[in-house]
Amino acid sequence: MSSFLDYISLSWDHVLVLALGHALVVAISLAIDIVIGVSLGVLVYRRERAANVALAITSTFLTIPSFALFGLFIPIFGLGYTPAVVALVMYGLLPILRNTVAGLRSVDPAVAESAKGMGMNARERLLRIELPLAWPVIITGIRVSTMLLMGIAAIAAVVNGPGLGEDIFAGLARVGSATALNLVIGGILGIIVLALLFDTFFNVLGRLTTSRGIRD
Amino acid sequence: MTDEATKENTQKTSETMIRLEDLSKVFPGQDEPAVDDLSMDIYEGEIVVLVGPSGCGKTTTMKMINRLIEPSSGRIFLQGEDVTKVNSDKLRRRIGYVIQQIGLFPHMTIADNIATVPKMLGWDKERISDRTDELLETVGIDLSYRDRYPKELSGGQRQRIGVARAMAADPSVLLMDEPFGAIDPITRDRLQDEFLRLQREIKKTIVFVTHDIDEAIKMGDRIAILKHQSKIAQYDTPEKILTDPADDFVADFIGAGASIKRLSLSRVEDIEPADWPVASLSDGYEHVQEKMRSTEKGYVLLLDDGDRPSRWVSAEDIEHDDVPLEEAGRPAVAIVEASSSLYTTLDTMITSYKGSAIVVDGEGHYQGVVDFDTVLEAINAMRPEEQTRDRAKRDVQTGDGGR
Amino acid sequence: MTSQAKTSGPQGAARLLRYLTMPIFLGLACLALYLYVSSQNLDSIEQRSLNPSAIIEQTGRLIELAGISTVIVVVLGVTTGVLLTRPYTRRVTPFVIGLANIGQAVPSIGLLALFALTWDFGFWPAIVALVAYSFLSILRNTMVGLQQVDSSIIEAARGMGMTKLAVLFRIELPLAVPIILAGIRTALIINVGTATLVTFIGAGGLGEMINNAIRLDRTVVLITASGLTAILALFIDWLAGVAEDILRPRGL
Repeated sequence: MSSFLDYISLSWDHVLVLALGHALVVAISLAIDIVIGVSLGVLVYRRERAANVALAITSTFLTIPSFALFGLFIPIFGLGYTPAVVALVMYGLLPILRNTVAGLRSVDPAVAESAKGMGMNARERLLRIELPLAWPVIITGIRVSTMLLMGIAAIAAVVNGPGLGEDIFAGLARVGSATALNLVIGGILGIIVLALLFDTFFNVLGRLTTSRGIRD
Repeated sequence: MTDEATKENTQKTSETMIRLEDLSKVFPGQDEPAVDDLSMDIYEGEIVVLVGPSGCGKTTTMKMINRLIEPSSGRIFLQGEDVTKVNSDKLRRRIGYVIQQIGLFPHMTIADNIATVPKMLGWDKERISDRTDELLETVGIDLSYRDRYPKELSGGQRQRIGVARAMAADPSVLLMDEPFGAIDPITRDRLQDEFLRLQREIKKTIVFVTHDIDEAIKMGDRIAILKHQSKIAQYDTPEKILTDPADDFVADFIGAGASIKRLSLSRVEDIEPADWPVASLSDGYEHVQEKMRSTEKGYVLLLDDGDRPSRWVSAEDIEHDDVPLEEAGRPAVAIVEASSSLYTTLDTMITSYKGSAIVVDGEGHYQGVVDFDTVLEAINAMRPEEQTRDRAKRDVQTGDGGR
Repeated sequence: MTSQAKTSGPQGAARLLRYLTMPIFLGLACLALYLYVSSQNLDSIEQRSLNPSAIIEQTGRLIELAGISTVIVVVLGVTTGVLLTRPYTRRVTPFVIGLANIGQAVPSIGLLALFALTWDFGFWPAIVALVAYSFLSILRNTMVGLQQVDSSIIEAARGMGMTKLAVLFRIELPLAVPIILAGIRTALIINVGTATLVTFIGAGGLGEMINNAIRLDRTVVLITASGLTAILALFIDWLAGVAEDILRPRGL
């Protein structure tokens, strides 16, 4: 325990740099996921077959072991940032897509009908009625994706990607040395802290952007 | 006679708000049309009720007016303009639409809900705000509710906001699909009365769909009784439908008690009240006793200083003047407003002490007393008309083959 | 989706087709891989890595690790889930579910490393790490599945005189089975994924082939090993899906 605290006081800047890299790669992938996931969800939520296909494909992504996927990407994208982001984007897509579809489908039909009956066109209905009402569910999906990506991003180290995974693999490589365990614990704790921070952020963001009328 | 009829007709045509011409709707995958070749005219300022059994197509018909359902064939005219093919979103902003489940936007405040169509039409903020306040007052919701959310309101309140929202941009036409269907009967009754009172002020053209014939009779200026595929069985005033049903279908739909239902169309102010002895509380015992002696009725009605009915006293009650007049006899409770229907009046009378009801005006001032005799007279006056009609119908039927 | 309706008429044919889509796709992928490998000139290292017996052995390892850890975690997870949803522990439920949500962020490689460094490298530490990693997921599914059982059904059962234990085994668990089955399937897939990483703590498996290929920069081996791993994972998931459909009680 004490050795870990010593380690932190000595190397906190190193851990911090890795943590920032980790946070950044997750944030970028998440941003791409939100854009693709929500847009795709908006496109397919009314069409059952298209939705089923989209959901099946994205869930296939999640089934593939991350190590294998990263490995497959090396010949295509090389090492570093690119394969990491591509893989993370693939992994984080399903929760957001699935929740966007579910959220949009859960809008009370009476509300949708009265909006149409008042003369709102499809675009206005989507932007002013359906998306705001589906928003809480969508945010939940974003939070799930975030947690997922936090853990998977650690594996990106095998493709020389950024993040705290580097420390964990380094610790494994230096088995037997004094710092090995500290590196690993530092990596894990760093990821957990980042996860809590991101989750809190989305939690608060969710509350702030959700109308009081639908918050329970 | 002919000149008047023509004049009436031309006047009516120029005031036709909505015309449906040979409207049909066939849903994909179905053999029979849901609405088959429907034509009808709806005049400005009237409430037309579409009523019929489930599945007759009444809601489909109404939804074709604002083209939430596109007609398969036929045309729709709004204020003389053919709107069958115009941009449907723009069309709907000119028409108010209220549905049974209301459909208030839960994530918007009451004010924002009401402001929806005006905002789409580009009104400025101040105009919208004034209009919102005006509407809230009109539908009887306190202005402090502006910033509340639908989930904080009761069913009846939500329904009122739904109506306010539909009227926000001051459309000339309102479409209402069973708007009072999802509310408890007591609140529904009250809302119907308030709505009718509102309509007397704003005089909108309203198309109202319901499955409840009693609601149709109460609310409609004209009623269209629709059969399967929205074929019109009868399209006329409630009065005529009740006294002269076009066929068995209509008669069956009205159900038993058509005559009693007709009583709901007559007002107590239309009949002659009985001659009843009245006195004032401040008149004193002697005066009242004199009144009692001069009448056969056996009861005197005492009014207070504001001319409002206060107490009934019998001869026994005023034999001795040991109690003040204010406490003599029994309190007068069976009271109806002059604008109440005969139906309501009869209802009050049945449970009253002596089978009579006191008629008062809007402020509660005494107008007269009606008892079973007076009401019976009025009913009998309606009967000769009915007897003539029955006889005429029977003649037509026997003309067919003597059965 | 009940198993009895599966093969009735044109609807049955469509359903059968849906079941076959994945295996057909995987078969094609295998074929593509095979053609790819045979078209390449392999050097000695690659030939050694890519011989069938090595592949089979490592695949077997992976399946063994995933299978054993899943069985263990299901037993532990379902039991704990049952215990934590009893009336006297119900208050804990939202807290645990919240914990499970955050727990998804814990990196699998991190847990593996932790167990390796504090205990030992090798098979059993790997198993324990796999169990630890997928535990929260199956715990959450079990709890959610039991929670969503309509309380009025339980009330009716107790009202008929069923003991608490009987209610658990004859009402609650059967009604929670669909969600628990889904949870088992998820845990299995998670374990397959994590098992690819156990090479880093000396437990072998297909991941070892991938890792070697990366270190030795052998693209053909890399593609083959990664591809095979992915195909294997998708195949296991497909099998689990079919099993899930068969095992789901009728009427639910």
